[in-house]
Amino acid sequence: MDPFNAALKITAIGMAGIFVFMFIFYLSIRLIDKFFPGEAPSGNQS
Amino acid sequence: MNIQELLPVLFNITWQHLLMICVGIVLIYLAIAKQYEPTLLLPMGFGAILVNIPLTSAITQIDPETGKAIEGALSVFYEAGIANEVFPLLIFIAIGAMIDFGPLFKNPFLLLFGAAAQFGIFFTIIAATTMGFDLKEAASIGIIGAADGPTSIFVSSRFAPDLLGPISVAAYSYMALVPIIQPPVIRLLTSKKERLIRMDAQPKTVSRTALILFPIIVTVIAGIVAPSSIALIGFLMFGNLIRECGVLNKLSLSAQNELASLVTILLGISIASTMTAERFVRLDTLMIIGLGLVAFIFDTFGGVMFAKLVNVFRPEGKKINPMIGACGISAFPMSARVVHNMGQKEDQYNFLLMHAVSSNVGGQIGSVVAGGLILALVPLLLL
Repeated sequence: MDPFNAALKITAIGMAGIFVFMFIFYLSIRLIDKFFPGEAPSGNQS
Repeated sequence: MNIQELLPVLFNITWQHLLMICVGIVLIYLAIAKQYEPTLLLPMGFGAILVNIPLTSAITQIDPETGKAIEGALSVFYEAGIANEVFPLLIFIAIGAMIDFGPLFKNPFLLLFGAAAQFGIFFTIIAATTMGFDLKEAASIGIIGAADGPTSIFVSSRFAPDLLGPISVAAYSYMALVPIIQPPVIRLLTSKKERLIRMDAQPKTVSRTALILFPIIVTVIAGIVAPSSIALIGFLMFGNLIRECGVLNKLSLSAQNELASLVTILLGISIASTMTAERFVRLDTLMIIGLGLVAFIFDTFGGVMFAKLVNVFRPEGKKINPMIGACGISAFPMSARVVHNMGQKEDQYNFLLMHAVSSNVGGQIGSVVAGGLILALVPLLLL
């Protein structure tokens, strides 16, 4: 495969791959946050 | 004994050596006077002077009388720390210890901008192949767009060690120039109305367990999906785990300070061992510097355009300020600060910093993922 066509292929697979990775990380964060939620921020005490 | 034997350097120096010494002085000037990434550009600048004095003992030379190699310290550092990728990986531990993933938990959707803003990497790979670079060289040049010095060094030391010098100089210089490069591109791609979009900030705390689990889960997922990325992502996440575990505060501080400082010195000066006149004074260097700028411009383009695309599907009141997309690069926290300041210039009551930081942290992960994917894909396509 010539470099230009290979570069096009890397672009297509690479960009799709990054989005897949980041989407999985996004789901992971949502899941972690669901099972281990942070404490609700406390309001001002007068 | 004649003067040629007394001062052999004077009779061996060429205009290329003098040019490289000037390049070294310019890098030192930029580091000190302009404070452009001084931790890297200063050692690289001084190293460039060290290796371009003819007959220098700083790099390995062949003894003309015996024909044997006399090892130079910088060449030894290069072989010990860059050729085998140890220095960039140690820097990843330090960076991991510095990153707070907390902002991502507050708005995890912004993680996706860390993917979109890697577009410049791939656009530049295509551009580089049209300019005659082979695929490995093009991939190494494209990774300048990761806006992440250690990732650039890691990828180029594996694929194109001969281009390591100019790639490192371009990567660190443009990272320092983010406040100059990004604003005009963002203004060109967005309308005033879009730049005025306000985003709600929800106060939210993140549990310690979540912050401990995140680096472990990311490492396992990356390892399963792309094993070749595991060194890059794993070392970054290891550093982060040291930070978040709460029982290794001393190690975390050491990683953030002593480890980062020591390895940065060694990294900068070792890269300089590749900045010899023979390797650096070439047309390729100018092309790499130009392509690096293209990479940063198209990173910004990718992030902003993705935000505009997302806004098409979002209802009024939930739209994302497209400038946030530009922060999906790894230059942290500079890019977030640039976008926040741009937002405040348009509307002094528009506080984008929290969202910009989330997107910027996403960019730090995205750049490492991009590096790992390129390391995996290029050898496959060369089969």
